Amino acid sequence: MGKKYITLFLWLILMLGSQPAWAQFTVSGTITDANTGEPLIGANVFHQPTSSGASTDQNGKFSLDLPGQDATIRVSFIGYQSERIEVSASNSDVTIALKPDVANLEELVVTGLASSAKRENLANAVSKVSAEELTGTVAPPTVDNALSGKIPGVNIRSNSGAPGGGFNVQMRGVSTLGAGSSQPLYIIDGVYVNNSTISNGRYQATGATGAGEDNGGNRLADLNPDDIESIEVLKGPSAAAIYGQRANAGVVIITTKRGAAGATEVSVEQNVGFAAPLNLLGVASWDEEKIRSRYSGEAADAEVAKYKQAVSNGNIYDYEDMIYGNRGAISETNVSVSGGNDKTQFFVSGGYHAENGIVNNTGFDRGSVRANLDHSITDNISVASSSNFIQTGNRRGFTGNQNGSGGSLGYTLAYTPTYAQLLPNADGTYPDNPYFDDNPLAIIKFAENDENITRFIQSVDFDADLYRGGGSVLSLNVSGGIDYLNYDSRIYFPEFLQNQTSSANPGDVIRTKEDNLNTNLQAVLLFNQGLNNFDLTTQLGFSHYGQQQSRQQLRGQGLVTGQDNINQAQVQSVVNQSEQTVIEIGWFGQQEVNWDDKLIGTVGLRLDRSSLNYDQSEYYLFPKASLAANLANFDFMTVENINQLKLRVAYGVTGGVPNFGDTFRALNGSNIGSNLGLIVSTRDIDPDLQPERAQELEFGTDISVFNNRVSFSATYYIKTVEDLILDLPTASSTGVTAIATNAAELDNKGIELGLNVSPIQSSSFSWSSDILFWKNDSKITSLSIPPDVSGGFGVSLGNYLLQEGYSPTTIVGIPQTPDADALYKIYGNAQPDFQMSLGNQFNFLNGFRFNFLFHWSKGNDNINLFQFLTDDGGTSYDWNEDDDGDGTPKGAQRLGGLPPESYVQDASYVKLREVGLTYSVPSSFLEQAFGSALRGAQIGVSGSNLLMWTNYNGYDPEVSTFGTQSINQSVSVAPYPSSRKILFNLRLDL
Amino acid sequence: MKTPTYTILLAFVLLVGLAGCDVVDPDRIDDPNNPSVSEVLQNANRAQLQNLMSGLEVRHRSSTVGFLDVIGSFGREIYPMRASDPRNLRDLIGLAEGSNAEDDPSYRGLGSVWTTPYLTIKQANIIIQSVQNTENVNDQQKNGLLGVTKTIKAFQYLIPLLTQSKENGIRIDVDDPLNPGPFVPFDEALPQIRALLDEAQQHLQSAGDSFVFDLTEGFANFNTPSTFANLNRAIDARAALYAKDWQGALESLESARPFFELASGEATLNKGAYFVYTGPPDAFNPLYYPRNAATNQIEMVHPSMIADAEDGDERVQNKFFERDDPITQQGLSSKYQDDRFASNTSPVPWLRNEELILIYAEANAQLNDLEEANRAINLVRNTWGLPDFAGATKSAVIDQLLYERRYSLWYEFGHRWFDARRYDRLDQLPTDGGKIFQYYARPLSEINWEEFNS
Repeated sequence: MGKKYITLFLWLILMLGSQPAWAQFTVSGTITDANTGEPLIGANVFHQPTSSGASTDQNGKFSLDLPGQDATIRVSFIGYQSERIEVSASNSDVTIALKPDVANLEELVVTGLASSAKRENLANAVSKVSAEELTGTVAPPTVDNALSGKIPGVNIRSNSGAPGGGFNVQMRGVSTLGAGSSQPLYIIDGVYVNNSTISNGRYQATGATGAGEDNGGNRLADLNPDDIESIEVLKGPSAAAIYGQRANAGVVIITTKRGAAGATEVSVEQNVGFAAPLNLLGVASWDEEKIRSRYSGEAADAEVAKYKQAVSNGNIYDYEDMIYGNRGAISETNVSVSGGNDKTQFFVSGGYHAENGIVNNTGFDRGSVRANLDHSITDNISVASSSNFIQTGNRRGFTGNQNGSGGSLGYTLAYTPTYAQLLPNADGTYPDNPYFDDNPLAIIKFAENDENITRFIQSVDFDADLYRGGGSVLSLNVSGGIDYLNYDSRIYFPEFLQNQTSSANPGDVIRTKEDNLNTNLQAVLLFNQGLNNFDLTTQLGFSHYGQQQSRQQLRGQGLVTGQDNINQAQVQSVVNQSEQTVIEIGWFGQQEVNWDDKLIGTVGLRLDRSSLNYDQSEYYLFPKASLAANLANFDFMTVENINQLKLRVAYGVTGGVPNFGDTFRALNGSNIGSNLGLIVSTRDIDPDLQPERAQELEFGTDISVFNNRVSFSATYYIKTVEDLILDLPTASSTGVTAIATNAAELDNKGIELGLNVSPIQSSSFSWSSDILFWKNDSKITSLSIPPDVSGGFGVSLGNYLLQEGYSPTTIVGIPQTPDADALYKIYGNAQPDFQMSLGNQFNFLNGFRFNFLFHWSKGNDNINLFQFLTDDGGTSYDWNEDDDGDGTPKGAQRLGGLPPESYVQDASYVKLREVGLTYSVPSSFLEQAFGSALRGAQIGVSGSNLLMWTNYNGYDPEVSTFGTQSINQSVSVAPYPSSRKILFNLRLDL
Repeated sequence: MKTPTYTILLAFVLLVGLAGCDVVDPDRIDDPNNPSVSEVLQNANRAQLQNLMSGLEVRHRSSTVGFLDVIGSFGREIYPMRASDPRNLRDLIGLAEGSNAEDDPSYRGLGSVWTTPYLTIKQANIIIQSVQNTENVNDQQKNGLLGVTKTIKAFQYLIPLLTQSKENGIRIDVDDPLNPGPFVPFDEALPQIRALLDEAQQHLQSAGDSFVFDLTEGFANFNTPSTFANLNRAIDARAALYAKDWQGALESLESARPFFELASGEATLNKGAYFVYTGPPDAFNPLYYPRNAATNQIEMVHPSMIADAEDGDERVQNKFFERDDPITQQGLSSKYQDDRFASNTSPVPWLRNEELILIYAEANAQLNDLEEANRAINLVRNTWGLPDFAGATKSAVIDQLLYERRYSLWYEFGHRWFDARRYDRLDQLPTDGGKIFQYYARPLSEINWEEFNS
């Protein structure tokens, strides 16, 4: 199959043509800022028919040789609106004033694997987030954290409040039901990076049910947000089709900062601050009556005695505050040096982030160094390299689910009354906790959960103009990327902890090592041609992606005092030793046609194969097509004050590959006595299994009026995911419990609205405001297996419905509803009705800036099992209240009902995500005081997650005990509580 | 590079170059971590057959031990104290309002009484297929493999059979995952299971003197075809009780000799088949807890076991340990924990001579040979320090027999609940404020499959 398409590609190459060239005149001039009149340095002048151009110098001056007697040149500069200017031999000295591009119409956005287009001409709603929006105000610890509420159509949900991240990023609704990746593909400077959540096996030591409950961070956390220049988000298949089979959940393209020709610039930035609990719940008080209602006979008398003694000794404690109520210090330092000449540019940076959590002995540290180099070998050949070395350390502590180990602070807290005596004795030993399996204060002090990541990300990019002339350029771009990640973790319960002493082999240590290597290679031929008013861009390419993983997990139980080496363990076991290899091949071609910035059309095609598919050599086809019409650029549009009026439509198809191992039917090793057994897997495979496939039709409009002071964008999309892989639940008596098969089709329909207004723009005061609104509705439109429920802890506590006509995010629970259409009673929906954000920025008093961002999520529901546990333990903050006056306390009443009725709860919220106030010292003052030694100085204070409004009965409505999941993402079991962070910032530019 | 011709040529060379090598057409990647099922279905070698047989032991162990806490709770042998998941008490003791194992097809514990035994049956079916398709063992050796495999397979059918209602029954034909056979009610399924045991016995009789594979130490008394045939008959004797085939039970017991031995003494009574646990890479004995373990995740002895015991019954002191403090959850409390195991590598019994003696007593009592029944009962009683019993009526003997089974076989197979079902005495079990269930509902996956395919 591959050969046939290769022939097609070669045909397309041969069809590329060229044009000749002739004689010339010289035009020169100055380019300035239309508002201030100051010269612009580094602005571009370009003559399209000859593909020749020039940049302005330190004084804003340029000079360019042009053919013939007259010509149209295009003048552009980042952050300004481009202009087209008529010049001739007689009018060859010009001054051009550019207006600031408030609506970012000129911004370049990636549209192919080696090409970009300015935003004005895009046919998709691609969101681009700049360094300013990302790290300008706050110093976010991780990148995904920094995007919350800033991109319409993207729901970002924090899995817990533990330092070091752990986010679920979902673009345009549900893109898989669990068989494929629910997370977008992240590409940093051309490297397909690893964003997996690596299991440290905590669940095995604490008795939780699976690796998802390890509360791990996703590895995007390794990237220093301060290194980022911009982030582009391709939300759906219509924009991401050129990325083929890895793009069902969207693509995030991250570009890091690079050097620019000119004087060497040094920036030093220091942040210091702290994290404090955002929303502690409080705990219920106890009295004799309550104790007697929960215990009987002798046990009740004994408890009452303990209670009375604690009261008389004044030993009643708020353990929640003791465990979670701390302040964690945060410090972040970033230093960068950049500069270069016209041949070579560099950007070198180093950053160190150190953060302590609100639970003692938890935290997140990251050290990162980066060197980005660009060099032009000749005028036509250039090479770029981006290198990033990172070390990350994370201590996430012990929270979440557990079974029988006490290895979760919150779980233990739920069962520990205020009169329990858990504080250390005079000799430093911790008493046993009679109410649960361990003493949480001892767990905090002695149990350890460390992860260390060593990572190296490298990309090399080679660009050569093979042919240039006659208005056409043929170039070759070859780029390669490597992402090496080494993960090393340790879970350690010393032998003297309560739960250990009650086990046969006290002392438990689990050590995990994982090596990951991702490689990608891409070669693209790019042909750009100007024909009269048409600009044609053709690209053809090949891509190769490889992934290797090797994992070892060892466990030692029965440890020598004070030792955590597995060699010193009575029982030594290999928990896991496994390898993974993935190879993927893609071919692609794309044709863009731009008619004078009026009509812009694109068609493209990608062919992909993957070793993750059942048929590893089969190629799958992913087409795309789009059209944008800039009505404001047509001659018939003569209405004043309309800067942009664009209608756009785009269609594309992407794929979703199965998870590794899903296409193998394995015999699993299992030992008994001294023999090794092989047991037949409970899963079977459908030999007709296809990868998941999403197609999307998106249309919308972008309007800018009044000199771009008001811009509005609206997008409607229909994203249909076909061939969703689900388990055909066989009759379990056959010993096969599931056969993976293509079983469902799902629609996501949504709208995304964005309004940007800049009512006041003057040099002394400016105000701009962004209002974003987005909503998505998912619905299973066809299901070829019996309707079922999935996720959570079963229908008795509430989980998710898989049934035709319903969203897979529908939360259901007992009882069954034989008379209704749905399989079980519907209690809620994890997907919000809509999300909205409001961002405002004010610049005033020559150097002050104040901004804030509110984020509203409406109508999403959670399964709040933490309250189920605290109700069971009698410790919920409102347990004792009896608001309906029936004599039964609230906690007991909730517990007495059907659990889903009581614990599926509305989790809508409004959060003040970011607020910042900064002052930049005016450059005139700096020049007076320090001469040229100090170019810039900025001080500021910022807060993230400062305020939250919610009716939800938990620490934070953003929570997921199972970690990052496609569906199963709104269950709460004793999470690490969220914190608010306040940081003081000082930045000096030398 | 002056003209486009060169460029096109270069591009051509580049593409053809790429197309010619592994970069664009890589080899297939097979599972790097596990062998596949298809490998053992065609001409399996002896090592593979050994692995499959050990796999059968793994499955057999996990399904037989795996349902103990469920049926032990139903029969009030234990309390499943698990504070981390309060649903264990709520559902298995039936404390939760509206909980009903009899009509909820997703009820707690169904996985262990239904799905897990069928995984063992699946393993057995793969072995049977594998043995039939290999030339690496001779017919005698094949008979050994099939005899053991079919015996274990038949034993596993008993678990779902005994936990479903008699009308609903179970599936017997489960070879093809996409085309399972019909449900067979109790009265039809049990003869089929016993026929399978007979078939297995015939294999064992033509299996020569030794097996071509190793069994673990737990089968130390049954590691040749002829001794394994004794175990096969012992299982059939148990099945015969469920069929009320008293004469058949006695006949099978006779064929189970020398495993079956009518004599007293701890060693004689404890002789039998065990599950071994040796620790990593093997598993630990999941029923073991250190004495006074400071935990609230533990199966506790049902207090009625202490209250109802005869004075001086050594089974009580042998099996139950009185903790310093009771464990109380959801208003239920017990001070005693399981004390049968010395360590987390102690073996767990699943069929002992003590049970066979009591089967012998029961069959004789049912056949009105009360003297012989009393004699057998007293072999057990005397071993545990109790005086002779002399039941004068059939019902008195049966009452006493059920008492002895309750203490002799405590928490070994869920016998108490099964016995109470057999003798229609579920109403005699303490409710503990919850419910005593008669049977489990048919599992949801089975209902769905029937609906989906109709």
